[in-house]
Amino acid sequence: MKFKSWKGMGVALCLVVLAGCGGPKGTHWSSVATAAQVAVDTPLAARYETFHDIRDKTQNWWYLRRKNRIEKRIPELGLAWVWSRHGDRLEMQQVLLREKRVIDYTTADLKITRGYPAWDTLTHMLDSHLLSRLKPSAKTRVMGRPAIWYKGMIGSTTLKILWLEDLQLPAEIVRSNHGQTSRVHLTALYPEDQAPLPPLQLDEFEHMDFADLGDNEADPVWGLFAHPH
Amino acid sequence: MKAYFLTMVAGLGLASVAMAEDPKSWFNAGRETISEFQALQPITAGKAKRVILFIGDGMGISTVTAARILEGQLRGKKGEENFLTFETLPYTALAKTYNTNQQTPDSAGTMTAMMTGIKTKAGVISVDQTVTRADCASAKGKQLTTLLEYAERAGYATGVVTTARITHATPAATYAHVPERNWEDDHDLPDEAKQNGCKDIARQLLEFPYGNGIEVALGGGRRSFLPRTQNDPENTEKTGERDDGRDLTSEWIGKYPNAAYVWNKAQFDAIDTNKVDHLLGLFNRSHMEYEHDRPEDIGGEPSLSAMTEKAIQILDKNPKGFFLMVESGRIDHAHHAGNAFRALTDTIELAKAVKKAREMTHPSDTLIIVTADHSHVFTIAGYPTRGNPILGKVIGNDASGNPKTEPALAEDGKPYTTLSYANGRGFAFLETGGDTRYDEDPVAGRENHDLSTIDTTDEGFHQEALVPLSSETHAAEDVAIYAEGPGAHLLHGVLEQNVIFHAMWAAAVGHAPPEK
Repeated sequence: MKFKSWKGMGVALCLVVLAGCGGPKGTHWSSVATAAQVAVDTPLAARYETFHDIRDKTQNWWYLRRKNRIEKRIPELGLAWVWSRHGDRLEMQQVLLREKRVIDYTTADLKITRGYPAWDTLTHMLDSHLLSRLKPSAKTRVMGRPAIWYKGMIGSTTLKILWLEDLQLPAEIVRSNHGQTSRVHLTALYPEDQAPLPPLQLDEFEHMDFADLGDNEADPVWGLFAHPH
Repeated sequence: MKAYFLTMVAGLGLASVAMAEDPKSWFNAGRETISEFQALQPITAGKAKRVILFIGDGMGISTVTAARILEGQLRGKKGEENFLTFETLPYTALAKTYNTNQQTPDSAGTMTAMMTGIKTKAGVISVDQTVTRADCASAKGKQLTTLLEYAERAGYATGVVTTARITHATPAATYAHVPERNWEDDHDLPDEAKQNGCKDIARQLLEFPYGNGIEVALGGGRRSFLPRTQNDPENTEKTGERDDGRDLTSEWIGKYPNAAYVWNKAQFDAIDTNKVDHLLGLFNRSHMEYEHDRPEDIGGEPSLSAMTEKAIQILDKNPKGFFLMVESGRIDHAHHAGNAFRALTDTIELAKAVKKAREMTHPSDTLIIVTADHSHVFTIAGYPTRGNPILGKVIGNDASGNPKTEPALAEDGKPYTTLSYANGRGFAFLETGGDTRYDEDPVAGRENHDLSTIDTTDEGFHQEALVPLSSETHAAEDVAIYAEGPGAHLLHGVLEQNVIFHAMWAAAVGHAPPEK
């Protein structure tokens, strides 16, 4: 098994593509308030598709957002990541869906292993300063919602982002660098309670603290976490 | 490895700490040290009224050396000349740490050896090597009596203090018996274990059957003591993990006279040790914070040295004496994560706890042992100049032996650090609050980064590693044993790790345990 990461997925935060924003399907979203903060706090589920031209491979994944909780799930890989905010502290759970196992990362674990992402970055999939470095251009609509294209160069990377203004989320991210292009494309959007994929309930999964992984490498499943290759 | 007792409480070798560094001073300091050694006499008369065993989990010799240097440098000194408190104990030995089935050991097997006098397998807690790991039926009749249990039977007070979960392998091996270290609460028990009557570790702490029960249990791991129906008092959106509905914290209060349960620093500080005879402190749902991160804990946590002090105050009320185990449990975790900064700062806090214990006792009737359960693949390398920051990049000397001003460069033209790991997650520089890396693969070697502009002394720096693993591993070399007090002289030379039990027994009882 090979673990993909948000970043490795290309999702990461800023990258992907949309071949024409002509029309993501599955728009069932109609009740989201327009105020940005309300939108961020209103539970939603979004399905995205990532494509890397160099790999010629498409991957579908889900992004579920509600107040103080962000989930990313890749069903075909059997993987998920759940971020939660508790006051000013973040925690993260790395999930093996098929094996029903979870690695729990405390705030301190995140600090010493993976960094400590800004909550804003998680809730918008983009670094909060990124859009300000790009130039707004054409306005359009995606799934009936107002959207605006941002374009520009950051370093040697060409970026095009189609930004859903009310949801404060990208509908598309196209990143081109050294002849390679990756695209993240929104394909469906639901209120969380109408989504075909409800948020993960992890109570019945077997949990392990990240700090304890080092003492459990003999376990074949925990070993998957410890040795992703 | 000499076996003598130094009447100076301050310990050995201090003459060389504060000396001026010139040829004459080096010679005289060495001479003075030997003079002190010649005056040493082993304490063979009388028994140890108190036995305190300090464990630095994963505190290999390289960790001790690096922490010694860091502590000295934090005091504004060059560092190498410094001694951690426990390094001044008069007796030292080396312990062979292997488990009966594993060349490089884990904490469960090693602590079982130290607590029962019998080596066993990795992953099992105070049961013998004939059991099958995680097989409850195989463990029937294979329980090994621990020194803590013997002490309770004999009427001594007992205590367990750790910064890990109180149900984690090292503390668990003092009071529990299970063929699987991960059976920390009943939710962890498989059906086979339940059917064959195995009890989870937290329950065993509460149902401890010997003497008048353990007097002090301080650490993390609250979730294994609270039911799933009960919210955690600190992380209120989370619950306990017990399926049986038991609240073991309230049971603790009901079980013992003059008992108290605390879960935060304010409650801990308010404990009147004259009035409390049985203290349970569970300061985190899981492991307690690293010492560096402790100020940021939501509920507040006491330091290891503060817990040690409080434990001794309670245990010392027993006129017969006490046995206390104190573990710095997260040195190991920081190493597993490849973060030397936190491993070393936790080691320094362990030294403070030893200092506190020495201040509160006297070596004439108190055996103090400081050791590790196992080592880590942590190295101190290159040829840094004297006083070079131990967490820094190697800056060597010139051809004349004087310090250079620029970092030494490897064959790849890049600088490198003094500290590194043979395996693990590898290089990372994680800036708290602003870093958006997550879930990235381990970074082997150094092809894709350059430390030139990196502050490697920062808490977020992760040392380079040769072999990419998501978790850095234990190491198999021997660990050091430091000791003072009655029976300390018994610890010398190269020993099997289980000999530590026999030394503690002999110190407390006056002779070796009966043959099995």
